[in-house]
Amino acid sequence: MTTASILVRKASQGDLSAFEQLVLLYQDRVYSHCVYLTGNYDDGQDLAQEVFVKAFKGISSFRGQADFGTWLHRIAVNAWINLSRSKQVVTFSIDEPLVTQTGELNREFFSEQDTPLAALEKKELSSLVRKALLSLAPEFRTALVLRELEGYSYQEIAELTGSSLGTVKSRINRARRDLKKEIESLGRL
Amino acid sequence: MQLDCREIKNLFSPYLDGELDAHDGDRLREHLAHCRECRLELEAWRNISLNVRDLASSPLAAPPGFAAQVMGSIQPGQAKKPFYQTRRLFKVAAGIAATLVLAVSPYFITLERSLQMVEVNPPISEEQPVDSDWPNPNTVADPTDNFNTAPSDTVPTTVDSAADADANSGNNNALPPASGDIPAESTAPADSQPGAEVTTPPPGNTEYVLTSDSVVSSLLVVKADAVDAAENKARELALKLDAAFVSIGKENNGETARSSYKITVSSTQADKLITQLSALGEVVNYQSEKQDLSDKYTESRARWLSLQNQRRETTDSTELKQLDAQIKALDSQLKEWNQQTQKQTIVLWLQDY
Repeated sequence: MTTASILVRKASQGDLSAFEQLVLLYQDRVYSHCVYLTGNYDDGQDLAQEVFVKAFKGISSFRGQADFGTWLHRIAVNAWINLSRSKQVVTFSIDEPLVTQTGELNREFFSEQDTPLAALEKKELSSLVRKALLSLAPEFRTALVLRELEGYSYQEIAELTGSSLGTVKSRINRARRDLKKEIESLGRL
Repeated sequence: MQLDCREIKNLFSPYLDGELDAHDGDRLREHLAHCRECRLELEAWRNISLNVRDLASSPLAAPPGFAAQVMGSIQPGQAKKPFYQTRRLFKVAAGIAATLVLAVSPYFITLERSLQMVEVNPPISEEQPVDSDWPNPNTVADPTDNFNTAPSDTVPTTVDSAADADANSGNNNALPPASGDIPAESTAPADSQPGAEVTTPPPGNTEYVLTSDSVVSSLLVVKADAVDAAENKARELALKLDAAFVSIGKENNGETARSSYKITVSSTQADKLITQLSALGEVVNYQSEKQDLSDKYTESRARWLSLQNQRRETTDSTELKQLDAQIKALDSQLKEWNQQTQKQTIVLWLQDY
């Protein structure tokens, strides 16, 4: 039995400390996943927190047939889809320009990027890919994340998002096309 | 019928994802056989796809205190507002001009977490004066405010992250969780917690007290002859007061150049810095916003006190360890909040004439 399995069993019996250990074990993966789904760090953090709260409430229904981390991801996807449908979330990417009354304003974050190390990291492909992914329009990013990071089939994505199969196909293709364009653009900086 | 390159690209994703039917698959391969450009393009898409999938293997680090926040949210009987609504409402309530709110929202959001706390027993060790001559009368801080050092030097719990590395592999058919009630807390299990470094808090002699129920943030718009020179001067002034100076963005619509900055400064130095920044040119706008955080503070403190009480009443060593771990996590969160609260954020806009 894995560490996680033991903790899950204890947590399902109401052991808060065990659940806290699970949060600590999985928080990076869940948070990361939520950032990619929502497209920005603040909403990603909120979603991740909601995921763990829901997980705690429903942990007694977790039968251990799937990996606990995968189960958490599934909760994240469901929560995000429901939230997107409710249209209560106005998403914006940290990288997309802000449209103001006087024109476009491009955000610049220099806090960590002024250092040579950060500048080097910025040029790394994974960093570019992450940045480009976050810059995608929400509907394209969601479809791509569900496909690439979650491994859902097109049919499953269509069911999850309430879209037609054709729409899913189109969104994923458009997402990859925009992603490539954005990576090329960032790579030239 | 022969497909052109544009149409072929529409088949790239279904092809890469194994979702292409046999007929389209044949047409794609036929096209690729004689179109080098599309072959290269498809290869680029494939590489990017692999890189996106790789993101799962190097996750972003969750923010400090995240686990404590979660644990603070799952206490039985606590109904929390949806997080999104809270933040959105906070932004709306900020009351700053709409475009500016949008521009600086990530930073206002961070202030939502800030709370004023003080360790009252043992006695206050380091009192800092609070300036009361804030330019906007609506934003004058509570005169009873004290800014004090955070309690204890607890170390956040560290956990071996090498657990169950197979979490992200493949699909699954797990059912989504039931939205039932929070299960009743059981008696403490006998197992110990591996890796849980326990710090024993001194029961009863530490209490977090809300000394100010709000966080102040402000917006300062200054017209300057030369924005670049003003920026350099602003940066210099900020550095002298140990403030963090971050460029938010630059804007130029062909007629007016404007730059914005987020400056995080000690609350005790904020007035001084605003006065100095105001001298960079002509102040055309100044607004300040006070955000009430008392509800969130009360919630967190109640949980902290509850844990302390539980700890006093138990003699079971295993339960003590568990409670200590939770208290330690919450201490870490409160400490972080305390650090944040001792800062004030100034959003500075510099624009030319």
